[in-house]
Amino acid sequence: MREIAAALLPLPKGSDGAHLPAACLNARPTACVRPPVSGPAYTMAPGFTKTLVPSHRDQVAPLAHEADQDKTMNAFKTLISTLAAALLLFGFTTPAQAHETDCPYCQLSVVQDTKEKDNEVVLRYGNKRIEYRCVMCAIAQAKTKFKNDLTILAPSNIKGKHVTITRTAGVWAVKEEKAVFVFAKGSHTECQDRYRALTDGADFDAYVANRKYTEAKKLTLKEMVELSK
Amino acid sequence: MRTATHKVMAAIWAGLAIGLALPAAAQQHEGHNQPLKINAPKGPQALQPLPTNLPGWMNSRGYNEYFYKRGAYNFDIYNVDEMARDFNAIAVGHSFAYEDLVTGKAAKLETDTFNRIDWVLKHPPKNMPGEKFLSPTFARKYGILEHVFDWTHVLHAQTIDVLASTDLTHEQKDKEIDALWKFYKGTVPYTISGLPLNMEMLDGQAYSGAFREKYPKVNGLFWGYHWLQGAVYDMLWTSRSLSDAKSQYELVGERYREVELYKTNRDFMPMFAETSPIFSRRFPEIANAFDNLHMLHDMVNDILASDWLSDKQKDEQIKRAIYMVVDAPHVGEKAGDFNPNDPLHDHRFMDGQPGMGMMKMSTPQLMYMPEMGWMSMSECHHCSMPMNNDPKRGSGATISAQGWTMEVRCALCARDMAAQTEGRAIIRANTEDPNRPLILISDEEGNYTTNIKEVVFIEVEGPHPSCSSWSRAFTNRAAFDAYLQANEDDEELKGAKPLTLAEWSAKSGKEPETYEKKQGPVPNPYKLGGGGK
Repeated sequence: MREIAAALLPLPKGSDGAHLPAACLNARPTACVRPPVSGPAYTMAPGFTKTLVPSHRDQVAPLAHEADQDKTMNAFKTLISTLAAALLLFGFTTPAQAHETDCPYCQLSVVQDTKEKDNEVVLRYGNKRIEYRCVMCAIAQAKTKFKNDLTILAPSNIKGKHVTITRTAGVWAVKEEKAVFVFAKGSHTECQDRYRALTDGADFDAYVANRKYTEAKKLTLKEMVELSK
Repeated sequence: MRTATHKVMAAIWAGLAIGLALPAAAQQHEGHNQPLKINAPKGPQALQPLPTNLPGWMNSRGYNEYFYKRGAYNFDIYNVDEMARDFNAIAVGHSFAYEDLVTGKAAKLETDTFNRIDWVLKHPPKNMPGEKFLSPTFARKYGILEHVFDWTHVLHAQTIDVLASTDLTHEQKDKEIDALWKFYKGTVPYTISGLPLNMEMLDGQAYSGAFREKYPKVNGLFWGYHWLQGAVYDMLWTSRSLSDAKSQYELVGERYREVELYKTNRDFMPMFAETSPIFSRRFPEIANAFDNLHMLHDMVNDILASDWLSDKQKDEQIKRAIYMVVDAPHVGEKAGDFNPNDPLHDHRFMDGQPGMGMMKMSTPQLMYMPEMGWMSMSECHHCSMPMNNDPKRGSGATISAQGWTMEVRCALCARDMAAQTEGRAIIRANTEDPNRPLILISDEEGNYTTNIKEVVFIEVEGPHPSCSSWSRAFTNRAAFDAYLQANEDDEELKGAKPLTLAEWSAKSGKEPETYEKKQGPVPNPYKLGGGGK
């Protein structure tokens, strides 16, 4: 009981708040620079890959209350820019890749857009912009998870042309009048092709013939919504 | 202003410096950046003997108990009553499972025991129970283990009390948490090491994986507890009022009770720095100790679930598990130490995160995080640029959504990453005032509520290497103006207009040109067999 009572007493003055070992402290601005990709601290293990992105502008900007640090920071900024330039000069960079994520519905990777073909399905829900792997995943998720109005931008068979699906007050609609949906049952690892919007129903036969989808169905939006689960 | 000539000269200089420095440095750090090859055979043949040099306290049968460090903040966890009750229920959950495991009721762990625990989790007690009174047989059989657990749980409880205090300033909390760590380490000998330990090694024992395989639902509960025990730290650390803490716990607690407790598909236990990266960076030893403690829980669970072990072997292996995570075998070692031939003494940590040891197949630069894939902890998770989350810099944020917490470099990165993620989210962002972090809580549609009513944002979208300068949050318009004034030479910020929260929330940035998806040697190291599963 005495120990319990002692524990309830006020905090004694001058409680020790000494800093932790240097090795464990936060990285300071000077450590904020991306080191060269071939440098020892960033050498990748065999089998690991990592690309480097050029840093051609300052990393940080000073706050109003940091005027006293300006000189140091300016020197630091110069070093950052020049290091980046040095990296470019020595050819240590490779291009960045597109943003990648997993489909929240089927958990498989969202197939990225290519130069020839769009693949990423985007569902807009308020301020959210969530990517799905195929139009069926997006509709299925919309039916189960989202109650309010939403928009789905589905890639079509034509690069750069999306089919816009909306659900307003519970009513589904598609903006493109001639749009249809390919529904070709099969492995979900090919869902980005097997379940796809076409801007024009006239393209259906050619699309399924090219992919040898012998049992593919041509669906209206209403049918697609019903079958998406 | 920098001149082009100046830049080119400096570039040449920097290039030469890099070129000359590389060979020597590479030799000096040989192996440091390689993943260790952990040999993790299973079964009786792989069982390691009990070390002969166990510290004396490990065989003590004497009664030995210390209470909390004195402080006016003790039990302030009850300021956030809902959180306190959830933690009380965790103690019951631990105890019920352990008691049933050692009293011949293991066969009903996934049914009767699970249901009893689940009932308590749904009807959490008002007060913290003494675990040894709920699991007396376990406490008698494994008394010293109970001491280790209890004492580290005291550290857990007191650090949360400090963080939940409404009487201490943030600075006082910071100092007191340091003091608590010293009290923890200095009062008794049976403390967990604050060094980052190699998690793959600890999970690569002869018995590892047995519990999660046999009792996935109860194991899910354990890992759910560990998720909550980590997740509340950044939540509380960034709170500056009770209202900040309660509004965040409404979401965190809901996530815990509805999802995290019942996950049976986790690859590995939740790591502390995965759920509270800011606190972990500030107090790496505490973060490491909690991960080591949670790993000790896993090892003990696996030992008790391994029917091929005799009672004597179980007793020895539990002692060996304790030995591996306490200070005794690590005397004189420090964070960063690395011996490629001895994984027990691999104390490397993730670049940018000293509060996290090596994970399965990881290097300091690259680790696999369940649900996020391969990643670097030193980079923004939205634009891949290097992080600097020092609150004094006024930029940087974390996003908590879907059970994970990720660090990002600027307000835009935070907003867009949250927008691209289903469900509710919490953004904790630095502002120009280190004492006033911004807390944004979004609903399912990405509409935010905020703890700073006058918050304004700058967003002049440009290349992401400088996103922390062109995308920031400010506590008010005056701070925004002062920032522009201080950066009047920056052409890209000229004419920037302050954005209200509503305006900023509705915006959407381009895909960062700097983003890179990290690739590891395998898609998911936990699906390879051994160690984990």
